[in-house]
Amino acid sequence: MSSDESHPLAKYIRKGAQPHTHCAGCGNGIIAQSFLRAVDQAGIPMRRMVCVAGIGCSGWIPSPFFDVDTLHVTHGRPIAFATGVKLGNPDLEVVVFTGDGDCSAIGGNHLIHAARRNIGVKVICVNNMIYGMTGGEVAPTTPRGIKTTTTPFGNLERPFDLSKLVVAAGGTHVVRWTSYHVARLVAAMKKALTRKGFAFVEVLSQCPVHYGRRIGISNPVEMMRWFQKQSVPIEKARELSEQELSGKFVVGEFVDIEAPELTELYAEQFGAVRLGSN
Amino acid sequence: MQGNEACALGAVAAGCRFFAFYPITPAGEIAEKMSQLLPKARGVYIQMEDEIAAIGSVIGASWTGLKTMTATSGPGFSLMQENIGYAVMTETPCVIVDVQRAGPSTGIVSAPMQGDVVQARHGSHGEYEIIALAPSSAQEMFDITIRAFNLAEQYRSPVIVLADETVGHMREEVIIPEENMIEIVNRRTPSSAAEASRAFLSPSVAPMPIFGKGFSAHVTGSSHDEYGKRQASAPEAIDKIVRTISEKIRAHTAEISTIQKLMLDDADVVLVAYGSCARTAEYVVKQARERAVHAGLLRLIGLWPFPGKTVQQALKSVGRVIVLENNLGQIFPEVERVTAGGSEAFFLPPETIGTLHRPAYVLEHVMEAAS
Amino acid sequence: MASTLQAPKIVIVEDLCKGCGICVEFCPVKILKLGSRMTRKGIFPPEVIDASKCTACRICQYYCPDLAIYIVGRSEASRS
Repeated sequence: MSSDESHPLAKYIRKGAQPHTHCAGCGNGIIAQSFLRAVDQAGIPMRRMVCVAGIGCSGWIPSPFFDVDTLHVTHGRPIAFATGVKLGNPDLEVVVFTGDGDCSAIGGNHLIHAARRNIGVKVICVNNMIYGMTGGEVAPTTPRGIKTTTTPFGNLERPFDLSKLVVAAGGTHVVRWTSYHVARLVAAMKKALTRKGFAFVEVLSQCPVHYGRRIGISNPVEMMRWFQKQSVPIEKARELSEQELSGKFVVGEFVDIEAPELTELYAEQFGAVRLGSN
Repeated sequence: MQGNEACALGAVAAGCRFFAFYPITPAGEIAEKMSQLLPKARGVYIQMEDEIAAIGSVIGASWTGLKTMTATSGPGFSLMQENIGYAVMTETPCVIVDVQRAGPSTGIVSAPMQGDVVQARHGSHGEYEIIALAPSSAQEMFDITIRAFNLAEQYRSPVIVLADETVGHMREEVIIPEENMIEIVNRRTPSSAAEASRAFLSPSVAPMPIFGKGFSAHVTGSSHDEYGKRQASAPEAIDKIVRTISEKIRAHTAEISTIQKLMLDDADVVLVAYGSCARTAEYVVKQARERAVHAGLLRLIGLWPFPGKTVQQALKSVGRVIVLENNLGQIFPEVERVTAGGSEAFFLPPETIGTLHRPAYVLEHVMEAAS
Repeated sequence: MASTLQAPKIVIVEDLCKGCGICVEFCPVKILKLGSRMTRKGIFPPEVIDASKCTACRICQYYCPDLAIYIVGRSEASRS
């Protein structure tokens, strides 16, 4: 009988960082665990990884929770900082944790350019369709009509489809799941981590406190069941009309193509096996 | 060679191996030169999507252990301020070259001005200290850029090279020393994970736990304790941060911010200037001396932290001081403050701001002050 | 043939639990329920109704946002 009764992922958690500060039932916790499971399954040593976090609840997934080199940066900018980290030391596995507001509002420019460049940075985008950390303001991903703290009469704007946005920007690996689909999510994260090039993993995540409450589903369990019910696999979605897809979440792999990764192109052009001085 | 070109050569000589840029006049030549030099030196040149990304990637790359730099002008410098504050907060070494141009706003892209001086000191929010140096020749664009890197590494701080359009675009002789004659300072890094996890936040500057060495460094712009652990609500934590990272620079003001003295010993009237204005000032001082006026020049090389004691000491027995700046007085209040009760201090902008001072105009004022 | 696999142990770390109820909902054999005992943090962590029925599927473990519940003693590979 094994005498080790600690959590199998305990070795990835920074001492003193538990319990993390996400709300009860927050999807971020599920995403955090799924990521660690993916890293564990892929056999990627944490010593080789750098997590770059934006500002928002998603930023608190790796910071300070993961026992790994962590760069918790300014709002909207993790992808830009991560580009510098990856170019500075291409041997590092660079993973960005960002939210829907962080990466598509203030950070939108950095997102589309990283996709265009195919820099080998992996972006985990937590989409809770709201600005959670600041109290529930409308986000570029909030559906039309929703009443948030700053759209008390109903949101007039159309939301982004983040995965489609990244596909249009040239993302070579784009996938979307929800916090309900943990098995798929772990597999998707593992694939993103082990393939070459840019990866965008969008995860719809429940924010029961600031979004669920607005749409009448304030219980995290109910929100996850709602994700389950409203999700349509991409293979099936291709056969459905726009009307039939209204209000649904299309999940699965949008794009997965091979293309030269930026740091490799640098090495090729300048004949250097490894960039920089490390 | 051109000042901007010399700046690029200086950066590479100092060990810069990562340069990120967003196109802006009049800094373009620095970038062009870096894009040619860096690949040969096994470094990275990247053009980012905006200035915010440029400084962001510069900070990210610095955390992998590289010496990094960006270059810009006023509008880009404004955009970079938030991330400059992040570099201050996280004690990240990096160099930012601001080739100042006429502003505010789009202004005139190829006219000199010294309008970003106060911004260099306090452009980001919050309370902090920073280092800013002002080259006044093509040679200094080479030398001072190297010095900027050395100071950045030593003090683990962003360092601003406050050039201006005239200094950036002037063509002069530049002497490039042999590689082994150039003094290079490198950041200290921990030799073990145990050393890396010790308390940092010291005025004597902790070693930098660069990424990829197994240090599990937690680097955050949030208020934190001396182990990098976020302290989101305790004012004591931010008090310690603000005082420590400011003191680490302030305590060494005299060594960081140097001055050049020309004919000060017997001067009755002293011109105080920096950057391109110092070139005019030097010429005027010599002209005044030819007219038997005891004029002198105090050239500021380090602007921030302002070398108050050094300046006060140098101007101790000087009756009148004229501060030349191509703006409406950004360093002048500092000079006025430290000479209060001693010299009479006057401010003299050019007749037309956005141009260099007309020497005859300055000479008139010097002659008047001397009489 | 009688199973020779050891019974899985369900570990619940009360200090980490936030009482969200996700594990209770998604357990396929419904052997978890919201507890009636309040911890010092004011949380009602789940209680195991019948540990013998646990199949070690680990859905509770994988879903827990706080890593507060997990299975010890039977590897994933041993599940048939």
